[in-house]
Amino acid sequence: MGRIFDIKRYATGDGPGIRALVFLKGCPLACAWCANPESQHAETEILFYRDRCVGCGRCVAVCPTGAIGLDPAVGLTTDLAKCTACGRCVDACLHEAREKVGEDRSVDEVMELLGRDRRYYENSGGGVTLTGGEPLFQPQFSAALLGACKREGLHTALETSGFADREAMELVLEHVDLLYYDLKHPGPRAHQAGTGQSNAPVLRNLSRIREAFSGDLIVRIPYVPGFNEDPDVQRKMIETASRVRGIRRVEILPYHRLGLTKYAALGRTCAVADLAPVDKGSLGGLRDLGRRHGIEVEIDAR
Amino acid sequence: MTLRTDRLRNELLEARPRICPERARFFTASMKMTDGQPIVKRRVRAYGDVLRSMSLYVRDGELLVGNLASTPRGAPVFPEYSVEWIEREFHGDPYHFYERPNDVYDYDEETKTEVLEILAQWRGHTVYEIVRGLIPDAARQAWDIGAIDDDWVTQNGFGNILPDYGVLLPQGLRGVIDRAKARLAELDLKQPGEAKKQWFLESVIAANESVIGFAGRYAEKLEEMATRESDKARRAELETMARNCRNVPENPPSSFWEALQAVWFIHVGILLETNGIAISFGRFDQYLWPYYERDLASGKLTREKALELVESFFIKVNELNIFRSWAGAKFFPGYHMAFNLAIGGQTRDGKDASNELTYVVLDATAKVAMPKPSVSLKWFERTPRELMSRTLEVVQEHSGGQPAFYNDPGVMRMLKNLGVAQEDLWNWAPVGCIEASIPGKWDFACKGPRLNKAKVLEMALHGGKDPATGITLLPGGDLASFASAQDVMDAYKRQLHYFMELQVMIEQINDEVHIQNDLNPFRASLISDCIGRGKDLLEGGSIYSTDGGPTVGAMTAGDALAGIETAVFEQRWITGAQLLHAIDTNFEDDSTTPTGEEIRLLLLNKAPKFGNDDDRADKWTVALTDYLGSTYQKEFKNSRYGKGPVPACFAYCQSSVTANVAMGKGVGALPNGRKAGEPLNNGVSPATGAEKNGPTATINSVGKLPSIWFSRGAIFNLRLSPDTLLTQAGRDRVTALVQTLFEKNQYHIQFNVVGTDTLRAAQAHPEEYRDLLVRVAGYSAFFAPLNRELQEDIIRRTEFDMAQC
Ligand code: SF4
Ligand code: SF4
Repeated sequence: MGRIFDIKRYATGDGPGIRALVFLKGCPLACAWCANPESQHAETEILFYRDRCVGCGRCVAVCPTGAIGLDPAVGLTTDLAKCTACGRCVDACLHEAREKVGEDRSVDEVMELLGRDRRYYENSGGGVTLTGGEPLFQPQFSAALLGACKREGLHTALETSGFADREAMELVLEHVDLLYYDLKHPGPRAHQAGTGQSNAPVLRNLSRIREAFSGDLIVRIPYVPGFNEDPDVQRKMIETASRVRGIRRVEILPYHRLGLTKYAALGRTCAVADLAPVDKGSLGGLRDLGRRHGIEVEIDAR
Repeated sequence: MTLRTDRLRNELLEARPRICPERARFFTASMKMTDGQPIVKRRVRAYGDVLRSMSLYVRDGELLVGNLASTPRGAPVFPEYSVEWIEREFHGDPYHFYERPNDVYDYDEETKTEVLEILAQWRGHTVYEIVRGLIPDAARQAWDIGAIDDDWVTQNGFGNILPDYGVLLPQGLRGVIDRAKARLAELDLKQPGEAKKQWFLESVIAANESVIGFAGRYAEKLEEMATRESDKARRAELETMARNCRNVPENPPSSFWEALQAVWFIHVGILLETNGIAISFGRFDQYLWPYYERDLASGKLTREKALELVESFFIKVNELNIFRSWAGAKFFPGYHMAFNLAIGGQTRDGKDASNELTYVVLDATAKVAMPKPSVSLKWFERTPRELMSRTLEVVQEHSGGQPAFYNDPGVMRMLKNLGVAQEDLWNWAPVGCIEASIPGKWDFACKGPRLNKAKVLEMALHGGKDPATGITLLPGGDLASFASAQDVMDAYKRQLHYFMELQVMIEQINDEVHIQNDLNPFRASLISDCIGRGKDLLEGGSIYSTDGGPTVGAMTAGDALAGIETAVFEQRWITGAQLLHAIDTNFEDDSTTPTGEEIRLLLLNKAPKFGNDDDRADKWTVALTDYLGSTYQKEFKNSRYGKGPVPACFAYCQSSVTANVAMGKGVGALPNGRKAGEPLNNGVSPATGAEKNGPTATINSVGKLPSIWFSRGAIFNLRLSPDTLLTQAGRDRVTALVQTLFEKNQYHIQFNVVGTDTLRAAQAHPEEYRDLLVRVAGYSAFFAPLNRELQEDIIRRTEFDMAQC
């Protein structure tokens, strides 16, 4: 079983052709700018979209643990300590104000769904991409799912933060055709501050990546003002990427704010909520930087 | 686009459609003098009088000539079909022609007086009035309720004709005349039935001579204009055009330019004989290719010049207009005439048929970017990737959803199942909005009353009663009494069968009335084997024949059935009686538990819907489609059965055009959460807002439909976000979507690429978006002049945001 929080059946930005994007739940990092905050915790969670709620109380009535309260001042509250994520309130809500994120699914179940779109992948040169969260956080499942895809002849891609142990890496990468590998910051302290974890395993795994992986490799760098927009920092990351043998290109993903409503729905606040989205036009210099290091830099492939 | 094309186009965008009385004037005067004669002879004489008398125009700079009315976008009047709506609307009921919400027509007082005076002479003798007077009461009631509706082919002539220009051009109309003469000489007038054949064949000859004479009038006019022309280059053009009109359509064209002029005269000739819509051009890049190739090889023509000529042709198509009732304009808004034009496909021996002219047509489609004609690409497994890519670029540039994509092998499979001969299959072409036809061999690719499948479901849920009028035609159990979802389906099928029978009855009568009042020898002479058999199309002259009007709302009905199954029989949220009450009160009774609105939301958000690759919903639509498709085709014969054509049956058509909006207005709330009056689904596209899993899931749902019954077409709209087609990778992905849909043997797909932002802006500032096109259903229309409801429906259709993931 793997814990999945979404499967997008027509994805176009994470690998060639028409692809299914399988989002795995749970991530060892906690990036302040994360656009999918519902992917971070390994536990199944209930999202609550306050602006859609009409206060009908149907969810309160069905909750078996009394986790939902109706506070006249703020509206609904969910006591996370009591919530067992049973999903009954989601079924009861008629206004799509509640959403359950995180479903345990077997490889066979996921393969059945992916199989329905097989001809689209084949006709477009597409396939399946695992992302998250962090797919290497569930290495057994990721390996089993990707292995099943390979047995079905599907092209596979994986997006990872690189924060994983060697064994997990090797186990999964065996079944991967295209790897997206994230670099977030070259400095240990800044990385720790922005993501909650050290970048040592990330850099170590990248430097030895070709021992475990011979497929297509793309390095992705999130461009986050106030964190890594310093030209020197960017240069270092592009340099690091350019040292990896056979790397296809670097993709810069400018920070955007599309995830903010989900922070609110999770009852969390985004640490960088006030950050303005990046103007992509201003990043042309990174392309030149890449050229100087003999590597293609693409801004926002999506 | 050359400056010339650009100017002609701009003038046309400015031109206000006007009512043109000429055709009605000359036609009526002629018919008055021939009372009592055989109808075919009367009509052909009147036709000749019209072609001899109507005024001609040549627009400054245009390269092809031939007009339908006295002004560009002028609309001729055909009083023999129907008059009361014209009289009513002249008196402002429900609108004056010039102040309708869409499809306005201007006129001057003189025209109004003349037209009203002509109409008075026809009152009581029109096809529409005669048909309405002859059909059974139940059929009339069903028509008035809106469950079925035959306005479009009783208030107007029959259309959906496809000549075979590949055969016609090389022989010219002289060839048609010679063939008729030879056949006439063979007749033995002692034999029964031969007298009628004689009338028909003589009329064929007269009709073709009239069209040749019509071209001759242009030749004279052009010659005269040339002598007065001071600009040398234009004078040379006018002289060439005059020579063209001397040669075609009578004789085989001697150039690409002449070939286009020949097609044009024949097309206009058909439109002046009767006002049936959807007269189509067929495989344009195939039959014109020999002329293009020859002229290019001889140096007579360049690709640029050919493009200008095709552009000129497309401008000409947009000059044509139809005079349509307000009721009709709600079904076919945007002065829609459904002139389909096909490109691509395969050759007789299964090779890719595309050529340089295919790309010239695509360029013209992108550059002229007007609603007509409806350009269609026939896709098959060997259609080059380059052609798909260029076609998708044009979809973006045209913005009105053209070209549309048709599944060549898929349609061949359907036609074969219908009984079309193996050797004819490869050459099929779409007609009108969408229906498949064999060039020069088929009578009417689409004809007959429409069926509102959602209305029939509403009646089935109410024991056979139409809640709006209280009329019950076929009594049965109601939603409160059904014991299972299958019971509901069985009751629905029983009602459907009843209304199909009424449709067929009406059309049999309609045909007999047309046979007595509306035989048309010119168009018949272009379809095989009318001359050989000495018969008009309606008398059984064609090789192939089918009937069957557009049907609307299968996905809405399927979702409603899924809603009933889920809410009443599986989840048991409510009883059938509660659900019946909820729809009867339009989900607005909040005194019930759950409230009406809660029931609506349960149905809307918690019950499965077609378009999400979910069998719980799709199975109902599939079952419904299979029932209708097989029943039409296997149970019902059309009026030509046994008279020559095959298969001469009815067939299932899902070319709803925008009838989904007009027909939705008359249908009350339904158990899919749709409120009273809201639009139904369009064609085989999911109901508005129903799809939530992206295009692959939607295509998988559509892919489950039993397409073997779809030879009369099934419109499938998919909206793409505007940037999807801008990159090669995006176009390749969409190509894969098309290919996968077609591997599932489906009929058609078309794309709308205009963003919601643009549409909203155009709503607010129509004057700045005068030439913004949208795909309406089987065709394109300018967005700004459409009425508000239709605009809203177009905006609401779910936009698949293909860029986001
Ligand atoms: S998921 Fe279950 S436990 Fe949690 S709030 Fe909803 S109903 Fe209560
Ligand atoms: S059921 Fe939905 S709308 Fe009603 S109170 Fe709960 S969250 Fe709000």
